[in-house]
Amino acid sequence: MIISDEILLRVEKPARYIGNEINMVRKDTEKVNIRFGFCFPDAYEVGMSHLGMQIIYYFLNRREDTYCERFFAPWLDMERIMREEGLKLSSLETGTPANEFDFLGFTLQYEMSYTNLLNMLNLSGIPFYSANRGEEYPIICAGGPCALNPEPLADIVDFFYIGEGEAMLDEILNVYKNLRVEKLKKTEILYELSKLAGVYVPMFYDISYNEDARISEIKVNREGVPERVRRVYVEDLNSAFFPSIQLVPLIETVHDRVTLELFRGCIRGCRFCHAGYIYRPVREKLPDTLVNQANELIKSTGHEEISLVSLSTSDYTCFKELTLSLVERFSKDNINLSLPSLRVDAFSMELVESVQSVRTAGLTFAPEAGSQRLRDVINKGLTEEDILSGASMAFKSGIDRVKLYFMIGLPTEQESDLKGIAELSEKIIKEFYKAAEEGKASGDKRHRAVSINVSSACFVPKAHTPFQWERQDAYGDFIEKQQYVKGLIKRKNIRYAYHDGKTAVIEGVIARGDRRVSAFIIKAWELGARFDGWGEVFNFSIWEKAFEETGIKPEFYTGAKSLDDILPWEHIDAGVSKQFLLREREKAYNVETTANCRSACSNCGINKERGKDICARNLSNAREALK
Amino acid sequence: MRIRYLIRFEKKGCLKFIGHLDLIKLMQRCVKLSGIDIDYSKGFNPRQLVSVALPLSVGTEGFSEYAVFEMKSEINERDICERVNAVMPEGLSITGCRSMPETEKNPASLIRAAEYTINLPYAEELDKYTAEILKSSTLKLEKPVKYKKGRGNKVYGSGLTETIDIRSGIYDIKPCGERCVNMLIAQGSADNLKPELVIKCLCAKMNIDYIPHKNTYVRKELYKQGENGSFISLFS
Repeated sequence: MIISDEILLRVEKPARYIGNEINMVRKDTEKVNIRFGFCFPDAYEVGMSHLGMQIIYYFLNRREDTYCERFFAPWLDMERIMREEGLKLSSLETGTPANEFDFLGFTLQYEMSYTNLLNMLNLSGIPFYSANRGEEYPIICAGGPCALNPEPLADIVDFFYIGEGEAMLDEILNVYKNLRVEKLKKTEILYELSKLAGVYVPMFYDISYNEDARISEIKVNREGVPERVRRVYVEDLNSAFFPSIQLVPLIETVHDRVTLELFRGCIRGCRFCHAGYIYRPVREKLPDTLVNQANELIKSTGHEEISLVSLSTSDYTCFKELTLSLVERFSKDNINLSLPSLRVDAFSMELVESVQSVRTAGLTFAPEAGSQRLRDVINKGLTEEDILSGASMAFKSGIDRVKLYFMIGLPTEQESDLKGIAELSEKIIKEFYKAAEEGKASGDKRHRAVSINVSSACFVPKAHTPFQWERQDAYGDFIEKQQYVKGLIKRKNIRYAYHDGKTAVIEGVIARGDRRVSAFIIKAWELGARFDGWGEVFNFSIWEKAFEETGIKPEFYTGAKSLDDILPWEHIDAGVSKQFLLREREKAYNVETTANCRSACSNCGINKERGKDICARNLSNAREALK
Repeated sequence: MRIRYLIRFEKKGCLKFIGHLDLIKLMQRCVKLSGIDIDYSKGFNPRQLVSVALPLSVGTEGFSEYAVFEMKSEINERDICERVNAVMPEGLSITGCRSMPETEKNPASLIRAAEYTINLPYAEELDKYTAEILKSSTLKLEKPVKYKKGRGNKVYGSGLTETIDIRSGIYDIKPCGERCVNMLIAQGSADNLKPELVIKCLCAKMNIDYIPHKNTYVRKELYKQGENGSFISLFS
């Protein structure tokens, strides 16, 4: 049932619950075979900015036999009313209760959204544990980056999809459709699905533990199920499905623009970065493909800004050509370009002149570490010289705002590294004053003021990275270090903001958690945890109580791991080899950098077993396009 | 020479839940999708010259709302309606369009009154109480008071209230059915009265609780000053 007006008038931002967006898909529910519920476990405004949802929504809806509808997490006020009035969670498109769908697919973008996932199940009247769900309930599946360590949700989700949606979703739905005709039971359907690439069905794996509580074995308990589940991905992004229309929300969301994905993967190999490992190999789209896609999307959405996204936009082979084509094609139609993660060089300064939105954006650097030593440890190939000369160039072209991103708690971190954060900010301000002086000397009459925003996040080691064995700093360590840096930053025009270390504790427990962590997350939900990614809602005392009541010890999960431990995600294969991760870890401790994989292949293993060299092929295609 | 068109539109159904700023953005998006030759502001940050005359509260439907489109070139009025309506979401549609002579002021500055129809499911004897309001010369109400930081005024949520008299803003009020009331009240840049305040007073008189989400509000029409003190529709 669609929510009544009376209820909508009682909640904040009622437009979150009305659907009816431009380009929303409408189908006759009688004429489809498969009802798929795409569930984004966060607020509407956040979920609607997610490009993955746009892709999967239109990918599934292009099938005549399938109707994919959307679910978002109801806000706290709506949840309260739903429980009071006995309302069940229903889809935006048709108001169909979640419980009546064939599949409910959750996207796992961030560990702190897990309590929302539980809440959405609960508001649908669906039991948490898969063992407690009979044939009458939908199949609960989950994908997205956090699915690379699925274990904290393994007792809850029926199957995980490891990898990119476009690769195997069609086949999964085809298999399901055929098996349903044969009237197979859910367990048997899941068994057949487990044989498909990228599908992980937790019920067919048994985990046993040692006396010291570490994992002793992960074993398949049914023949035919793979020992390890390998991540799947689309090989050629130019021929892969990409929607020519995008959903346009009726209200303001986090990003109000056309999102154009340039490429997947990243060549840099920064050792802390989860995305850099789980999206290999690098696959670029050709500039022509992108200009066409931009055209279609602008035509179908009426947006006035195009955002070029990727893990490292400046590394796109034909970056200059593409941006010039886009500016030429679209600026006369009053359409702006948004370019996050721009490397600062002569070309981007040219862009600052011609693209208004680039001009007002200010400059962003992500050194991540305050000293060159630590930057080398984490393989962030940005030198102080790059930063200072880039800043100088930017200040000279008129930019007055600089943002600097750092992380605290990186492996081998010392006081001198923290000091480096403050010192680097100082040096950047000095560059500004130099540029302003020179400007004045050559006649610039403007009074210029600079603002530097420094922020530090808390480092949480992630699975499938070289740092997956590292110790995460405790909450107290984070506080101490943040206060230390704060004390060193004295100037008024440098603002220092730091992320909450308490959130990092929970994130860390879940990010490297095993199956036993699910009880902990459920307990936190029972105690009222919701929207934990939202600073104003996150309540650490609830989680502390959950630790107490379930006996889960955070240090067990956030502490250092032995290199021969069986990790909870051992049976999930992201595509990079363990040997490669160990080599990178060794190099980190020796303060040795690894070149980007375009200049020298570091043998991460992504090409193995495939018999064809995807990386080289993609690179030569990109170079061809340059000519 | 500006080329402006006065647009009359309705905002109903689930569209009543989007706010004023979101409505403007939505209109701009629909204008873009329709491809009509809208004009943009000059300067560093060009914006579409699309403006909506008077905000509508979230939850209130509007049957005769007004906007102004400023175009780069002349266009047939019917074209605007057809092309933009084709891309508008359900609940939003253009119901009329006429060109604006150069001398005509922007509707936002012309609006003097608005007509509302409000459903009150628990009301009793509406004819008696509405007549009472019209007969009296004052209609007082306690309103919580706002704070202006830095200047030391009063505080929102501090429990402090002030008494205001809204009678002069009510031009007419009468029942239109058993549980429904129709009113013509002052709205616009000169004198602005919110219909919720009138309903609050009415509920107080009827001795029933004022429960905002139980009432449905519809703004039927917006008016400007006509001849001899009368009100005429903004569209004329």
